[in-house]
Amino acid sequence: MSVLLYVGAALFCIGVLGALMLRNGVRILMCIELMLNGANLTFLATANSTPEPGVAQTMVVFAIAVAAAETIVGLAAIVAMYRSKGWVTIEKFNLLKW
Amino acid sequence: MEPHIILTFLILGLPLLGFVTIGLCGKIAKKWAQYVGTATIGVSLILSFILLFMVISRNAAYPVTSFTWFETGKYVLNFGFQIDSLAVIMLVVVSTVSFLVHLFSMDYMKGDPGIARFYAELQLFTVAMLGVVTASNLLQMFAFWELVGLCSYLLIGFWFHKRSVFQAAKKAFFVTKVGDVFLFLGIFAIFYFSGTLDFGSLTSGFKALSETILIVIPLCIFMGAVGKSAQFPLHVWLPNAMEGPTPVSALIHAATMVAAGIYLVARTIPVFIADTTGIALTVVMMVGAVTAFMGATIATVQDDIKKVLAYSTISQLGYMVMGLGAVYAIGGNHPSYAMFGFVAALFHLMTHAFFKGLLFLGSGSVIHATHTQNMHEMGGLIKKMPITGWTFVIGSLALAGFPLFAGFWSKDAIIGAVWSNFAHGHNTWALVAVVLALLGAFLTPYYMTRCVWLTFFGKPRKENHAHEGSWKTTLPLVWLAVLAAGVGFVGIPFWGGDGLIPNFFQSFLGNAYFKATHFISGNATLNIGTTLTDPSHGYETWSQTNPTLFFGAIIIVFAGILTGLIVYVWRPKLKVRLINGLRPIYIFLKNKWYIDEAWTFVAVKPFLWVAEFSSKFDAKVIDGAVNGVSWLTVKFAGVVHWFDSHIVDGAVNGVGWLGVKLSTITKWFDENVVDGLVNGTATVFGETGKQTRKIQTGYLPNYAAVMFASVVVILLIVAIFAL
Repeated sequence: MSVLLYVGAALFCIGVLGALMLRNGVRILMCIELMLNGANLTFLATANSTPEPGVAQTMVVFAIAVAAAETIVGLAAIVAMYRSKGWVTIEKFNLLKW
Repeated sequence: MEPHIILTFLILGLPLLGFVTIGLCGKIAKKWAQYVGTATIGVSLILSFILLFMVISRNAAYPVTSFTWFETGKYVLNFGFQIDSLAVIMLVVVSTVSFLVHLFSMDYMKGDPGIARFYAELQLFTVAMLGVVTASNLLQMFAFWELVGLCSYLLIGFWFHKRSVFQAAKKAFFVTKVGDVFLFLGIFAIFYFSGTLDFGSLTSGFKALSETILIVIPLCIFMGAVGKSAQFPLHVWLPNAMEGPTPVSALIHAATMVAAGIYLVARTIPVFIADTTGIALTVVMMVGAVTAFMGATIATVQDDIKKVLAYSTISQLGYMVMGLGAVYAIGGNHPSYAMFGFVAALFHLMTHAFFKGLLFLGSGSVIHATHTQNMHEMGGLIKKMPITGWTFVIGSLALAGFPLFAGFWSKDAIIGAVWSNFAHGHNTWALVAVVLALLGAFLTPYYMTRCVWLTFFGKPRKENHAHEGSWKTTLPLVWLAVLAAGVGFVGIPFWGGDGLIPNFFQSFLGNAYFKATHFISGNATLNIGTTLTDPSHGYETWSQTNPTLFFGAIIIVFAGILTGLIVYVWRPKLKVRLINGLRPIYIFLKNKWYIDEAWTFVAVKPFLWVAEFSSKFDAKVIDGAVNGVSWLTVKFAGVVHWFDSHIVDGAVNGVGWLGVKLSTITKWFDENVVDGLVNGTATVFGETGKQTRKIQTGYLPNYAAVMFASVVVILLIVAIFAL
């Protein structure tokens, strides 16, 4: 179990670093996916030590479904960005700037 | 661990190691990628051969070694390796072709900026394909199966800058995915009913099932094979897949991945046999027969050399599927010839992998030299490229089923198996399949004669500076040519009682078949174990039961070659007359049976309609509702305005007059006391705003970092208070 926890934590950290440091929108989405999977893995790893392992497992399936929806929305946003701007570099996308 | 498991780990692990190494270091050491890749798969090839001889000398399958993969409640899923005759044959075929393709690609991909990526993907594909054939349960196989599909997608789209290339990659991925969904449903069903996915006990829970379910489950599994092995009507992706580099076409879309569907059906054959009505197997046979015929007809009119070979591959895969469908099942009787179809299909899989791999590599050599894929722009190449030319001829003869070449033995074994399904199994559909197969057997030598003649003989129709490649190009060609010519001798049919030469392939593979079928013999409704003859004794072969068909097939091959020679060499005018005389058929074939159009009509158009409808719905109904609401708001605002200006204003004015009077008094107080306070506050907020708005950088990672940091801080606070 501890191995699973380490792997989950590692996945999450890689995801966080990637999401914060990368510039390409698609890659950031992939990193967010990594973070989710790291969290899911942690859920599963600790599931058996809870009184109701099924709850955690259901939660993970739920999270996967939500993650799929999230990815679709994110990808749609990135495609829209690509269509209007011609690039997907998050750094340059600063319409919200003061 | 036993030695065979260590070997299997090495066979799979070396290319995996190669993939990781090349994938991580490929950009730095671009030159070394090809050598690392070829070396790992070369060692895998040697180890595969060692494993093959170990299984042969053992004369039985190894017991499945498995580890617990994961447990869900009472179910346990294993991760294991099944090393039996079926698996080792596939291992040797896959690693041989993969090794030669790695070698060939050194020249073919020379100077390509993405060569490291190419080799990394080839390595990953090899791992996945070796994983498919050694997996010991369906889910494990499915995982590798999807990985193979991913590699196919990546490699078809290798030159993704070209629009048609990435569209071909997408098409291949989506179309095979249609089959995969059904396959997954089939896997679910088997897991639901049997509670396990190990190949050894797939049908353990099938006793109580109704006939309909027993027909549906194998058909779901078969749909996976239809997608992957490019069977009618899901074959449409394979011709487009030719947009990929030619070595990839040779490895993935001719020799190995498309054969994975055949392997899947062969591995799960107990599920098919469990259907005692025989309907599932008959459907398999007929789909194969239609595909074999269709592929052969379309191949006769293609101009692109790779497209000819692609449709030929579809046709040959159809033969294999047809052979699998001929595993006799009606009424649950399994006489001694029941396994002919099984053995013949896998025999053809092996020979086809070699000669079609050879033909694709040969065409790659030609394309590399002439920079065109159109056969009408080639011609006369045999003088400039003798090795490529003559090996291509050998491959064509093997494909055409010319006597004594590999394809001859395997294709005729399939036709014979289907025939015995009709003659002894009294399955009338099998007769239709035999007729279609024989028509295909006539067309195959015809279109290969056309292809060879247009490419290598006659006068050069276009200037080119074609020349033979280095030994890295020619060695794979010669190697495969030897196999294409000679490998058929491991499985030639018996002659007379015990046979002149033993049918090694049949008795070897028979083990796998018996093992696969034997465990359902406990099932009361299936009397398989009792009716099959012992594999150590000779089988009754189809060539004994019907020699007319055997010699008829030889005559058909010669007739096909002669027709090709007449139309393209001796009487060129006849070709024009034929095209004009049979114009409707010609157009029908040129348009590839309109199956792409049919798919567009059935699947793509409705999808676009739905999308368009949703878009319209969005624009008309939802926007309309929003606009309606805003219109209402405006009207309401008008009413409010009237009320405001007439009634409220009067009251306000009255109050205002009072107010003015009052305000002169308060003004003094206001100007001196309150303003001072307000201005002071405003200045404070204004200055604060000026400073803080700089936080809104608009730079997304900043927001994310702040969010993340806040979460960490909150968690820390929670942790501190919790402790």
